[in-house]
Amino acid sequence: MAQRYDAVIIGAGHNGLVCAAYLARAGLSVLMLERRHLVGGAAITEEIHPGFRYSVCSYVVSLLRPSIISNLDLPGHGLELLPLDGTLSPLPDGDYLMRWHDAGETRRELMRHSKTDAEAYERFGQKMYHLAMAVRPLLGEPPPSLTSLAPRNLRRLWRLRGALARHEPHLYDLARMMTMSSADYVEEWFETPALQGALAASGIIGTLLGPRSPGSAYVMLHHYMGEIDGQFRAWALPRGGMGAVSEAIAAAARGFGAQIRTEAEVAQVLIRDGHSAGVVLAGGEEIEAGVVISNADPRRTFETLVAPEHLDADFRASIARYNIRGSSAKLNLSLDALPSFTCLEPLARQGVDVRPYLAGAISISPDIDYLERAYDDAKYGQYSREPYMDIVLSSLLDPSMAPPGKHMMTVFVQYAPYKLHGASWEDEREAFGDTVIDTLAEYAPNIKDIILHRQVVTPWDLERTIGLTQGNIFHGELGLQQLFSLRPVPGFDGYSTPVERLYLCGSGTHPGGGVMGASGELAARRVLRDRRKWGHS
Amino acid sequence: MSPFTQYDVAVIGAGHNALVAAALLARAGRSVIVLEQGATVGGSVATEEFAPGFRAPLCFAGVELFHPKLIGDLELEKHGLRLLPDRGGTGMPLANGRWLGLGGPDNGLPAKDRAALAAFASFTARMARVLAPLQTGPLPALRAKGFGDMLEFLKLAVRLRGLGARDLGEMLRFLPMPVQDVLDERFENDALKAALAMPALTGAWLGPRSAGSAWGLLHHRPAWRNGLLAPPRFAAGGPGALTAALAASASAHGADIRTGTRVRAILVEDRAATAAGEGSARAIGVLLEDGREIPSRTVVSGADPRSTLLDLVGPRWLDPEVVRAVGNLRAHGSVAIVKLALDRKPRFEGAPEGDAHLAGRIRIGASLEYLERAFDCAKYGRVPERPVLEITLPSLADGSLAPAGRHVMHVWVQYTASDLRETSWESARESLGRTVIGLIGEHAPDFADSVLHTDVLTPLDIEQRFGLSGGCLYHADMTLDQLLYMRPLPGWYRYRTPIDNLYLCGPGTHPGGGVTGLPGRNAASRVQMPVAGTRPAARLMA
Repeated sequence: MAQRYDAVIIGAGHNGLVCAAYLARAGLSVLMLERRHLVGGAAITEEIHPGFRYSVCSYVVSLLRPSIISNLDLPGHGLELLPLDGTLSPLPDGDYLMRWHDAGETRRELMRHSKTDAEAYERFGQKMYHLAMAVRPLLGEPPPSLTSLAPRNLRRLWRLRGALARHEPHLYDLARMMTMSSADYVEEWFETPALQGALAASGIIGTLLGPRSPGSAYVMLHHYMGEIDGQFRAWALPRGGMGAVSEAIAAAARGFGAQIRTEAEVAQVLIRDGHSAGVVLAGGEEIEAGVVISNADPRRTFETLVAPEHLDADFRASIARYNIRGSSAKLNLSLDALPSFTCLEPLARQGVDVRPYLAGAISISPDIDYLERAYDDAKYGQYSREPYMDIVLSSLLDPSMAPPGKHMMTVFVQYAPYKLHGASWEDEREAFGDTVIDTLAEYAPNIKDIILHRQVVTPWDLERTIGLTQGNIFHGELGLQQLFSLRPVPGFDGYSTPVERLYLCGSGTHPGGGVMGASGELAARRVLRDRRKWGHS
Repeated sequence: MSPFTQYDVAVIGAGHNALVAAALLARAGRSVIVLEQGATVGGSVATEEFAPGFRAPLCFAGVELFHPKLIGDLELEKHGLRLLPDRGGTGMPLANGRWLGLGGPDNGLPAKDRAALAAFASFTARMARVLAPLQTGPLPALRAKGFGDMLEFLKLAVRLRGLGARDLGEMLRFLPMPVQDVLDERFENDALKAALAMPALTGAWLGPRSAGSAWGLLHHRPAWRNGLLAPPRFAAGGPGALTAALAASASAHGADIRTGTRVRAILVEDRAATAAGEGSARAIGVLLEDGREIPSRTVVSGADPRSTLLDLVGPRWLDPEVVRAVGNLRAHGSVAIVKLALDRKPRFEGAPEGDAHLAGRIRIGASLEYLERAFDCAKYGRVPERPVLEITLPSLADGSLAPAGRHVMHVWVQYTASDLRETSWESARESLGRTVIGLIGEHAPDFADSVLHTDVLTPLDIEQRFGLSGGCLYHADMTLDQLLYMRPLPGWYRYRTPIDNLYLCGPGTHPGGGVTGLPGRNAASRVQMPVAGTRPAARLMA
């Protein structure tokens, strides 16, 4: 029998890495076990095509908690964030809508479309800021239980009440935001279809909800909570791709003494005397540990890693109905040149450098109905015939992503439902890729001629390669019925599980998805607190 | 000078909620005048002769949701209301001539679904019992102002705890869910799922996949109703008998009910002009269409929130934020009513012998996908080719509604958006009638031949005839963001408005739509007579 660790963490996704770093920093001996040959889970960079570096899955950062960046000194470990400067929405009629980081420039651009929208946009930004501030106390804290009468929980509820009371004028707005559809919310503010579409789109990312589905406004807010260097709701690319985030956290964890083993697949959580005692690797090797923390999603953790006899039937049933429907896919493209968007041609003809327009995000979301129709297809088990896309030309901000003169394009696509009606993703993958490219070609006609290599990542691939059940990028839908203390399932706080000394630290716990790291940090805090209870046994 | 003396309360409209409020206030000794634009009372809760000798419910067919306590308190039986005994259950004609009977003992479901149905019925019953105070209202004040308010909350907390942690967790999870997920988790049979989803979606601008639609399930299965698949409860003479009894009760308590009297505006006085200090507008009566003014100490509006505030009060009396919020209130019409005069009882393929199966509700919409696709049409402003139908035959139990041997059929049709994009309701009206007859005919082959007369009430008719914004029978969509403390708008759960002495009493207020009488009752309980020269003690957000 090999060495015994204080903590073993299954899976080296960004949350697992954050958890490892915090535990190691507190003096625990920590071993991370990663099935793949590289750390990062869905936050990885791989050279899929020679000279081109792909952020294969996750592709932008915004939500990563500033406290984690500073506590773990991520910049010191090589993390450099390059802010995206705006969002371009190309439109089918050849026009475009550009929102810059600079408020004045955005205002001038919006004036071109609608004077009232230009005025409303600033107020909208302030409103979202205040709402996100009101939610913030919820993100850095474990959610209080709504059913427990334990004194500690009641204290927490009371503190939360106090924190919310400070934002009282916004509480009703918050309640509306939690329950509305992003379309309804956005339509209350704006009249320009392109602006409505672009804003409502952030309410559908990663979910199997349409812009008209109640609950999608919360997802929109979730995406507005990011902060880069104190810049609220800014989005950024990590230099070197998303893998750089994971590498930096891993370096921090190693710096605190954590060990990371790659190509070490965990087959099962070892459970003895009613509590977890370690893990068994796929090769049969047993590793003993004081606690086991799973970065895998709740379904994978409790349906494959823990043997059913250790879980009661009620709990297994509630895990089985945990909503984790995958809905998104990625196309990663190596390009021979910059794509030329029809909508920017008039500017180019005037001699304007259009590269800044392309250096941010590019959103194919011309109006709300477009997005809703894309969702309608997915509802009935088809990928969208005209999908929503969020595109980043990462090589424009970070030339290291592609050889000189070439470009790297990452295309986030919805909807790609995990379960296709009467077809399999293995058969449909390339046809789906063609659909995406055909749609894109309506906005950038030269795209087909400049593709050197194309990688299509379907929900099925995300499940098989990354281990995300059904390809759900958030480890479970951000629906009201599974948020806060109900995440992943009602009855326990999310990080701890019915199996003593087995914890979850992934996005399937509060506060949920996005490269945020909060789940990893909160799980580490919970483990450290519980350890005192056991007297370090 | 007005020819009227000052009333304590002027009630705008004589829909069932307005009548409940009027009757309760009159019973409490207030002088009440009720002003109804239509020729008769009842609004959308009425019985209409749509063809010679054929009478049918105008909109709502049954009155099973009406709160039983109100029937006693207002002595409605003494005033002519007679409820017919429940009969039948829920029947669904399915493809290939099959029939699914639900709500009876032998329902032909697989054993697993039967067991799941029993468990679900008991779970929803437990929830309904615990949530009854919230579902009836008024809601306890959010910002507790004294022991009484605190006690309300404590009582609620204790009730909720009484459910046990497991049920409570399950309930918290249940309420915001899409009804489809709730049902998929429990049942296998597609038709059963559709049958259970339909009551949840009745009148709603939600599809089975819309989050929050599970709330509708609970709304239509309150503690005072026995089960989700229970049959409708008819009033003898149709739903008009309920509103007639309410009017009779109100009159008996001294309320003055004027039909054919349209209110043009609510009279508002700027308080700052009359008293020092913080300015605030207050209602002082109503202005009639004919120019007469009726002074009153309070105004209780049964009109929907948008019409009340934007049309009857007018934006100039309101804060721009309020105007914006009221303007953004979502009220979608999603229902059309088709009334059919039949020369014989319909014969559905596969249905059991006898006519017990015709006495309850017959639902057409074989699966959740069928419902969702019908809602998809409404989303894009199209009339569905295959709408969702909720069918009753009120004449089966009540011979007074049709000539001997003949029948009336009432069809609640969803989803019919009020705003059509490619056509207008004027041109779509007749084809909707044909669509409905054709759809029923798929399951009852000689049905079309039995139709003597068709009457279609479109969402546009509902909007124009009852003055309901958007043709929304519930006055405001029953979506999670417009429920409970946020109905009709955030913080407006106390039936007050930003105009002092003006109250709302329609289904746009908590607990919402359907023929419950509860918004009217709750509003009546909140109406306070202003004391001359002082500000009302409780403010809107209290």
